Amino acid sequence: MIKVSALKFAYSREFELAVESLEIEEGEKVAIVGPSGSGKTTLLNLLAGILTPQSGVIQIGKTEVSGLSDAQRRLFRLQNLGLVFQEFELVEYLTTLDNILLPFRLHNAMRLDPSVKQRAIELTQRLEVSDKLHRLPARLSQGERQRVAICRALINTPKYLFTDEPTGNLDPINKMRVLDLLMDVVKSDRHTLVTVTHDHDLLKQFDRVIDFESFFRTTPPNPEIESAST
Amino acid sequence: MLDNLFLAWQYLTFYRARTTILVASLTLIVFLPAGLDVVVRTSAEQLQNRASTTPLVLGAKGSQLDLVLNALYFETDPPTPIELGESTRVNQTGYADSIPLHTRFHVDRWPLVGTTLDYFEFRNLKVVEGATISILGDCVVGATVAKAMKLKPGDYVGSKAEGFVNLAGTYPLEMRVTGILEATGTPDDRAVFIDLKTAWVIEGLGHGHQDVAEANDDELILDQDATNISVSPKIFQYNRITADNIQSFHFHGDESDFPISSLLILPPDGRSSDLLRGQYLGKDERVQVLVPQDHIDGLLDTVLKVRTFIIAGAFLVGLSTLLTFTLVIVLSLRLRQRELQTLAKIGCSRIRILSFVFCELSMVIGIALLLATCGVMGLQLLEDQAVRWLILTAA
Repeated sequence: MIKVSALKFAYSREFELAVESLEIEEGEKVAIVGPSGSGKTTLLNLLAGILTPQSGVIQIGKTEVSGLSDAQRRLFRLQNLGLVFQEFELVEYLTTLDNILLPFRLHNAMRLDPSVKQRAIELTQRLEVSDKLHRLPARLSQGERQRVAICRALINTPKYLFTDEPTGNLDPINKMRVLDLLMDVVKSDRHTLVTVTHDHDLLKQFDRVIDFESFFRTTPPNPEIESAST
Repeated sequence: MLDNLFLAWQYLTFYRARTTILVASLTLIVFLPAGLDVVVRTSAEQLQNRASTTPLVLGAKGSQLDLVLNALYFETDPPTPIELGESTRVNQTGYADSIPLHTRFHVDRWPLVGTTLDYFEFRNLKVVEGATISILGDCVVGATVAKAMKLKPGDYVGSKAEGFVNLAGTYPLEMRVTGILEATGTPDDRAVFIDLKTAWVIEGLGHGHQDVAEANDDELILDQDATNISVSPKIFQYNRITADNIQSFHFHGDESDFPISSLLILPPDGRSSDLLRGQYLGKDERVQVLVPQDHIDGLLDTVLKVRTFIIAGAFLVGLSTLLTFTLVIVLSLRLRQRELQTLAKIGCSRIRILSFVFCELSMVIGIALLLATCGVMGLQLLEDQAVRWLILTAA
């Protein structure tokens, strides 16, 4: 279960995000929708421990993420969370297989043994990129890149999967295909999925949809502050 | 650590061109001064050793350095010839013995040195295979020459013809290899040695030809009286000296007038050396006596000064390359910011990211140092060539 309470986060004085309370059940698929630039990615980064809140509590499973040190949060992320970014963010000089295995090369606590490689190959089969194992990202289509990014997010068998506009850069056909494949994996492996998106076409596949602007309190950029600072 | 190395290697091989340029530029800035230093140091040692074991050199007046280098290395342009009589003159002073050298000719690209057996004793040259020179037309070859030309005793080598269009020029003589000299790491390894008289045969001062008296060709004899006989150029001249024709070889003229390139002079002590040199200080003297050590020291002074300037220049170029290298790395890190942020978002620590970058730099620097070291070691293996590249070709 993911629990957030009394969370506050601010970028200087220009943007503030406040979350009174948010609970996401185990295995639940939640979409957070809102317009671009509203702060959805910031919320996702806070949940994933990439950003640190000024105050409040974020609990994922039995771990209070907001109380962990930087190093502990990094390891927690590597071991328990799967992250899919909007721009795929594959490493251009690594092949599909090496991109998928990348999380296991980033921390000494992660052991890259043959079973991990086997899982990587299985994931590529499930996401239909197994024939592209030794290709570099530059030689993959947009849809294939995003599927490889999903494989990378799933390689550590995470309980919680956070995806940021997972279909934002895809054409309509690829968009539905990638989402279908993602949902298949999430359902069969019982991942808890939190997705932020501004694409309303995707919402019917989720258990719950949270409207960002009505649910969370944000302070958008203040023109007066901006003009005073310039 | 292995993961860091893996990622670093993947990055470097993905950007092959950039990596190659970085490695090449770093290799050059290390190799140039280090290589130059090795070449100069090795050359200096070799030149000093050779010069210090050669007390005095006598030769025609002219470029002193050319004379010394020719007498020591045989490879520079031969100096103006002097007469063999100069050797007698030195010996008659009673201050020193002398060894004549004739360095005008070549076998292939190797100097052909006409001298006497005293030279082998003086330089402590030992025949390791075969025997030393015994008759006209014999030669012994240095170890490097033997290896390069795959020679063994009993083989024949030909002297190199000088100017095919010159009808009055010298003609090749085939010489029998009687022995191979032990390698000494000196210029003697790169030379072919013959008796002085064999050199004069090549020079055209001595020759062997068919017996005119026995020839049945009336056209051969142009004129004849009680003491002289004139023969046609049609007469057959031997270009290989054998047991059958050696008796026909003879020299025209006074041997003391025959040319040599220089004399190595061996005074027993410093006093004899000084006294002998004093004899050759006359204004009208056509020859000069030189102390090789003095001239080599002068040459090395100049070379060392040039080396200092070149190394200073290489240092500045190296500094500039290092700054450019740093700029390339900084710009590359800025271009890679997104990739590095992705690693951080996935869960990679900043220290780990720095260690990737450090591994990449270490690999580039390591490969460059390895290549530069191999280059310098290669130069050390070629130390014999080093002197020739740096000094003799320049001289």
